[in-house]
Amino acid sequence: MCRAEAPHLSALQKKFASKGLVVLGINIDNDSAERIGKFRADKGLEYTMLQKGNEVAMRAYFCRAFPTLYWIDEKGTIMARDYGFQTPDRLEERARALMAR
Amino acid sequence: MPESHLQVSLGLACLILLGAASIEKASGAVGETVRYQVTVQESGKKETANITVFVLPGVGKAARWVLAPEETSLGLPVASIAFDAKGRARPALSDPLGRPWVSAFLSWIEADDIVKPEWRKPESTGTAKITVAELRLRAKINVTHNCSPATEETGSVVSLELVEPVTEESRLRLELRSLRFRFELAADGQFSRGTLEHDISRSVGTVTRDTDSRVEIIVLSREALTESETRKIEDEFALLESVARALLPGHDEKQVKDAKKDISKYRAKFPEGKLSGAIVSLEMRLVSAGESVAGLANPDEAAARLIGKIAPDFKLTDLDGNEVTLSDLRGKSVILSFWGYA
Repeated sequence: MCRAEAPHLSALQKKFASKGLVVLGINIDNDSAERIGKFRADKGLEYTMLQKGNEVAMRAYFCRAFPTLYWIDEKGTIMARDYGFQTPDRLEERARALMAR
Repeated sequence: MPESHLQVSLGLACLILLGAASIEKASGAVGETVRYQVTVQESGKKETANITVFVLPGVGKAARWVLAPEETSLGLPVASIAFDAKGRARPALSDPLGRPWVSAFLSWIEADDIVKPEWRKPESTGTAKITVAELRLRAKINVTHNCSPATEETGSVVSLELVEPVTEESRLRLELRSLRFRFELAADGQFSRGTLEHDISRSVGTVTRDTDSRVEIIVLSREALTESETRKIEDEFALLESVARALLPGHDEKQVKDAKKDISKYRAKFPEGKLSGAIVSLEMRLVSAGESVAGLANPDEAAARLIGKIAPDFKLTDLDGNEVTLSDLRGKSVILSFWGYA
């Protein structure tokens, strides 16, 4: 469930990279770079993966379920938070709203 | 030789002996408090700081050294070090702001522990002495004294040649050891050959934590503080220690509360204190530390409060080892996807 969203996020990254969209995948399980790298390669993901984000997820962003998405605009302001699986249409709608800010 | 040179040279050598002396003193009153002026260089950036190291009485023979910076621009408590029963230094509290020179300074003090037994107070010529056998044993090197007799102006010059391949550990030790010396690398940057040179006016060292982070510490001067100066710093640290604890990862609600109390106490006691400039930022940090603790108890409410605010900044490493800082991405639209296998 948690990982099902990844290809859709990758598609968004690809589609909107030229419009300044950056997707950061933040691993919260303390997985090794190798394991995350394999996941990225297997799924053909094209966005940046960051390691060891547990502390950031829990203490700074108060995540309690995964996946959790935070949408941050050009000024660094948080526009929205989603948790649980989001459909591709919903993701694209959110991304367009974010970039329109 | 100019008098100032002699003082500095004695200072450096005294530092070496400080550990043992202070531990003995620790069961009684506050031990010798010393101020170091150091220059710290990291990735080309230089910073000069006055760091005070003082000793608080500990249980039994264990003592505690505390470092406190005196520049308001540096602001905060930096660290304390616990000594175990054998007198070995162990960092007990680290800088909540994570300034790299703090860990470098700690390493320097710890390295002192490694070499301490092999150093003696300088002779009147102002040169420190090291037991060559010990140096050879520790770093697996051949050591020869080049400069004999050592003069007051140059100190003693020691050259060394490594006889074994360098492991990470020996490399670290060698570098820490060289904090008291100028250590010149061979042209290829490896530790295959080098020169240790004791510079009597300055102590230069490099600490390598990993391949990307090199911190050089140059001790410019050292002086003992008066008792009243020491008391003042001790009082300041009583506050700052609780704050530092409250800001460390894993802090709990009580620590934050205690720290907030200490802050208001401090304000009343030292309205014009040296560190008053840092108090505002400390308080702000405590507020967010408190929110973080409260947020853990009720994450959904805390997360909801984040909407419309500036996203909390962070620095994490990507799969290639590059650091990514969120605030560097201003001007971009960013999606954070927190994920795991669970």
